[in-house]
Amino acid sequence: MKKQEKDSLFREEIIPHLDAAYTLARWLARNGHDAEDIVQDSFARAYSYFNSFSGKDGKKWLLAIVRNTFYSWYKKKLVRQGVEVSEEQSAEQIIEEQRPDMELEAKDRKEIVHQALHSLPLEFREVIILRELESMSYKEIAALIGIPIGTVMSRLARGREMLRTLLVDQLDGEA
Amino acid sequence: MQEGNIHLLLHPYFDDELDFSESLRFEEHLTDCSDCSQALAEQKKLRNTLEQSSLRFVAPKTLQQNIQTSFLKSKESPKTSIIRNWKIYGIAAGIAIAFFIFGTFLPKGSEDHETAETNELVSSHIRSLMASHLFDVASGDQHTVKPWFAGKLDFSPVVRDLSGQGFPLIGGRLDYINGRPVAALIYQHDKHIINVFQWSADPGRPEKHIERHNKGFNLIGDGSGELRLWLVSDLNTEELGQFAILLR
Repeated sequence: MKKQEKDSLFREEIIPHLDAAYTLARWLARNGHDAEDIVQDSFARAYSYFNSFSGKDGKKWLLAIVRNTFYSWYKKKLVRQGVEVSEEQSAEQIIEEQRPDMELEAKDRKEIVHQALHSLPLEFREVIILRELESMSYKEIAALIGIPIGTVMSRLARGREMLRTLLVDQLDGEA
Repeated sequence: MQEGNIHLLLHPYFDDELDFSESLRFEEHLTDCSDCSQALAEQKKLRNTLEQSSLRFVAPKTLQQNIQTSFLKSKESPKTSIIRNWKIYGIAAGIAIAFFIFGTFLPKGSEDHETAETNELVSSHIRSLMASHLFDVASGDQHTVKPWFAGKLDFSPVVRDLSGQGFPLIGGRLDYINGRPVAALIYQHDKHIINVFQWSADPGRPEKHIERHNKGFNLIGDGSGELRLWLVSDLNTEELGQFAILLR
C-alpha cells in the first residue's frame, strides 16, 4: 500500500472510532487519564500495523488493539506494584487484586451504575461493555478476546448476574 | 441441549443469538417456567438501566488533537504539506504557535519543560514513522550521513555505524525540537526504529542520564560531551539503554 493510500484509509477507517476506543479503554482502565495514554499508544500501534488491516470493520480491529494495549499496560502496572506475574501467565489470568468497594453514598443512579460496573472483575466487565455498548455478537466477542463462544456466553451470564445483584442492593430493587 | 439445562439459553435468547428453532423451543419453555420469565424480565430491566446510564465517553479535546495532529497529515509531500496544513488548519496552527511561544519564552519549572520536550520528541518520532518523513538522507554509511549535516547545524552530530552490534544506522534527518534545529539519526534494531535526536547541550541544564516513558514509547536522555542526546523508540528500555551506552 502506498503511503498516501495508507494515510487516507487510516483517516477514513480508524480515526472516526476514537470515541469508541476511548470508551473501551476507559471502562477497562477505570479512569480517564490512563485511558488517554492507552488510546494514544493504541493509535500508534494501529498505524504501525495498518498493513495487516483487512479493510473491513476498522472499529473492531481498533478495539482489539485497544484491548491488547490495555492488557500489556495492565500487566506492567501489576509488575510495578509488585504483584508477581510469571511470563507464561497471560494477563487475562491475573486475578484482579484491586477491586474498588462500592461506595455506599453514591450520588445518583448513573454514578451507582458506573461504580457497579467498575467493581466487576475485568473479564466480566469487558464482555458486558463489548456486548451492551458495541452490540457485538458472541462470535465477534469470542474472536476479539480469543476465548470460545461458550465462555462468552457464561461470562455474560455471570457478569450480568453480579451486576444485577449489586444494583438491586443499591437501587432499592429497581434494577 | 437437555431439557434440564434449557435455562442456559436465557442469555443467548436475550442476545438474539439462537437460531429459529432454538428460539421457538425457548419461548415455549418460557410459557411454563416462571423463573425463566422473571429472569428475562430482570435482564431487560438491567439492559434498560445500562442504556440510561451514559456509558459512552467522548475522547477529551487534548487526545483528539493529539490523534489528529499525529495522523491527519496531508497527502502531499512533507515539505508542501507543512505549508498547506498551516493554511488549512489555521486554528491548530494558532494553538501550536501559542504552545511554542509559551514553551519557549515563559519561565517554567524544569519538569514542565522536560515533559513538553519529551512530548515533542515522541510526536516527532511518531511523525517520522509515517514513512515519507523518516529520512532526509538515507544511508547506512556514517561518512555519508555525517557530512550531510555540515552547514545545516551549529554542531557536528555523533554518527556511528553500529551494525556490528545489531543497531545499523539507516539514515539522518534535520528536525526541529523546542524551537531549534536538531539532528535526528535513525537506527534500526530488529523491526524497531530508534530516533536519536541531538543538539548542543544547554550549559544551564545538567545533562544527566534519564529514562522516561511517554505515550507508550521509551525515551532515554543522555549527555555526550557538548551534545544533548535523546533516544526515542518502542524498543524496550533495557535494549535502548544498551544502545545508549554504545553511542557514547
